[in-house]
Amino acid sequence: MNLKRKQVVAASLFLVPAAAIFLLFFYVPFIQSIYYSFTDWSGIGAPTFIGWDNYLHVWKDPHMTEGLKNSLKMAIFGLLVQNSLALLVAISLNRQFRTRSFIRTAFYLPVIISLVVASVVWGQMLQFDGFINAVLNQIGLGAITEDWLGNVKTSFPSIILLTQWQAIGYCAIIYLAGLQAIPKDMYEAAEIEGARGFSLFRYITLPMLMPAVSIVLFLTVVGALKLFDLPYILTNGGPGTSSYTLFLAVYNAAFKENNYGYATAGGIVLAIFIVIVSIVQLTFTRRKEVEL
Amino acid sequence: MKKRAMILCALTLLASTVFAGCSNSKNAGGSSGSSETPASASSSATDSGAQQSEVVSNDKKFTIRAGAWFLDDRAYQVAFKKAIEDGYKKLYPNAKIQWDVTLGATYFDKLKAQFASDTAPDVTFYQTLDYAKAGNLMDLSNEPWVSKMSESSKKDPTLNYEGKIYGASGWGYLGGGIWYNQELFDQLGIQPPKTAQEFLDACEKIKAAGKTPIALGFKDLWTADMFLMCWLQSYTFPNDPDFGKKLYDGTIKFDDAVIQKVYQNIETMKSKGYFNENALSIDWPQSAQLFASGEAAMIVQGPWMPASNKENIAKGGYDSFQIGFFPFMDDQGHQSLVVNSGSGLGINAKTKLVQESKDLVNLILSPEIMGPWQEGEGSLPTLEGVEVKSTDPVNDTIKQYLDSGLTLPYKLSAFMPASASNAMVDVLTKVVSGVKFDPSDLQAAQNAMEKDKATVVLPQS
Repeated sequence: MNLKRKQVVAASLFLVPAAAIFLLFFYVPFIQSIYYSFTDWSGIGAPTFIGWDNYLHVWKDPHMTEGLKNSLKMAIFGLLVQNSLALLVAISLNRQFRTRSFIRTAFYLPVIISLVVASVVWGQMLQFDGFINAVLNQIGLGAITEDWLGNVKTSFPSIILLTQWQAIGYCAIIYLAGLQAIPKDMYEAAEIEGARGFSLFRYITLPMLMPAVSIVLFLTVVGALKLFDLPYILTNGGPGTSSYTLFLAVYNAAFKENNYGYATAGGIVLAIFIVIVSIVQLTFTRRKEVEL
Repeated sequence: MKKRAMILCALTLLASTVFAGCSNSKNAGGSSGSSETPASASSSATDSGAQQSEVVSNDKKFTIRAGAWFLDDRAYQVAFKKAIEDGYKKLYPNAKIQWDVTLGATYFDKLKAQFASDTAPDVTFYQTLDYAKAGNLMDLSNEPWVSKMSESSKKDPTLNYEGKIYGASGWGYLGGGIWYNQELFDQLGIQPPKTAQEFLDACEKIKAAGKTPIALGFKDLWTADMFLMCWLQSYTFPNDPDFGKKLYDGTIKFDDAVIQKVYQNIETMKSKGYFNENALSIDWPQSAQLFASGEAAMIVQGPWMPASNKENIAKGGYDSFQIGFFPFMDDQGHQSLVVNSGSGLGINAKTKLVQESKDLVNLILSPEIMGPWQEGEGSLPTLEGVEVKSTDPVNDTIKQYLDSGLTLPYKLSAFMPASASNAMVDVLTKVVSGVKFDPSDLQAAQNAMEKDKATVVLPQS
């Protein structure tokens, strides 16, 4: 056995424990879950094979269909509004002004607060007799007070807005890092050539920022499709099915209805969905990236 | 040399990983019943309880595991545990009861995993007969306490599967009804309503007096389920005893006129402002506060309400009042109450301590242990010989309703999968949020029923 071969053998042996754990706790359960998604299984006793029934029911179940619609709404809102606002905040925070460090910290601060804790606090504030309505009453807007989380029209929009409280600061920090990585001399050269204001942004900032845009868009889309904690704590998907997300629908199918086979099918649909959306989005944004 | 040591190290890591993965809890002392004497080793080889009692010697040393999700540190729960431990010590002086308690619904997820891995407790409280269907629970039909169970308990869908008894009815719970502030009713000259219209009229009077007629805490969805199923109970079974079965076999659909009528009543109540504005964003303890404070006149809850209300009044410093009770009713005044255990006390089919487990169950069901505990739980007795003292006058009212109306051991939800009853609750919360009731929304429940029908363990009607 030559030296190179010995090194390969030794390296392989070192990899075996980690590979075994990965195989045992990731790949085997994943392959098993594909099988379970074709069964009727309550978690107790043996599963019964039912073919494609679970996958067909996903499209008839309002928890799943409404959850899918809401997840898509969330993703679109994230792409168009959250992303633009985060970029705007990052550009503002990249300028020189006296309280810059304080404002940067203030925008990032919500990210370090547990979402569960924040949800409970927001839940109290959004109740009919909560803080938000008290403020609205005080400023003479009593007519628009509402049980914000107890109304089919306002429950999911409220949840979307609450996600922004954390998401904008988080995305803005990534953009800020991207902005600071753009060499100053590029702007100087462009200015010498006569570029000003929006032209500088369009032809220098945006192309150079595309790697950060790719990351932020990816995180936004995946985060939106995975949204679970806020609706779970605040509304549990209600009233009716108005604030369900796909992830919550999968969770409730498994742990509220003991429908593990069906929940697994929903989980696989969700995974496929995330993969497709991510591939499309990454393909699009990668094309726009430029390298120095 | 160095490389050999590295290879040896990698092999050791691999071996330890494999051994760790393959080890089971038998080695870790987590098996279902562990015994430390040869006597028990011989006893574990036998399956029959009768045979078992011949070889069991009472002075043997063993640990028996008992599981539950409700044994917290409330005084009557602590006393219950102690009484069981003391009583079992008399039967088996060297035995030890190891309590396997996880509070709340997480217990059921754990129990599922324990049954799947053969590490479930020897004796356990449970809530679904799926375990019996899967062969996890022992058939206890021939146990002496079965003859002491009430006829209703013997048909309880949590205890009876295909005519066999798999669990003891530890306690009998009133499945829910309407609790009211008797003082407020007297002040407003309202009598407990007998028909749905009288109920709506009572709500109108209460609202006119500036109070909230009914406090809802539907953030806890089980309260929404209780509200809906209790009202459906009185609209369905008194008029058609086979309503549940017909719903199950598809003769009756989920958008049936009777079911629609209940949703229409709720829609009327919502439109007239009979519920608290924050009905969907507060939980049941907050709704109980509304009731205890006198702001709301009625609340739909379970048998724990009298005790809970007294506690809320004391904690909140509110004016004390006598609590009253009446069941939901239909348009003609028919009413039906549910009294069931909702949970059973069973024995692991794979326990090695068969007779010891049967003795433990027998002990738990004895009047001197079960009586005080049921009193604390606000439960109704379901076993002959067990007396539950009641001090609150409302219990006499409940007894009158139980004696005069149709009392069943199952709700309508017992005839449908959880997915269908959840779909019905979705429609309810939608209506309570102010959306007009649309019968086509019930199609989701029908679809869920058709898909998950096989998971329903039908009650013995």
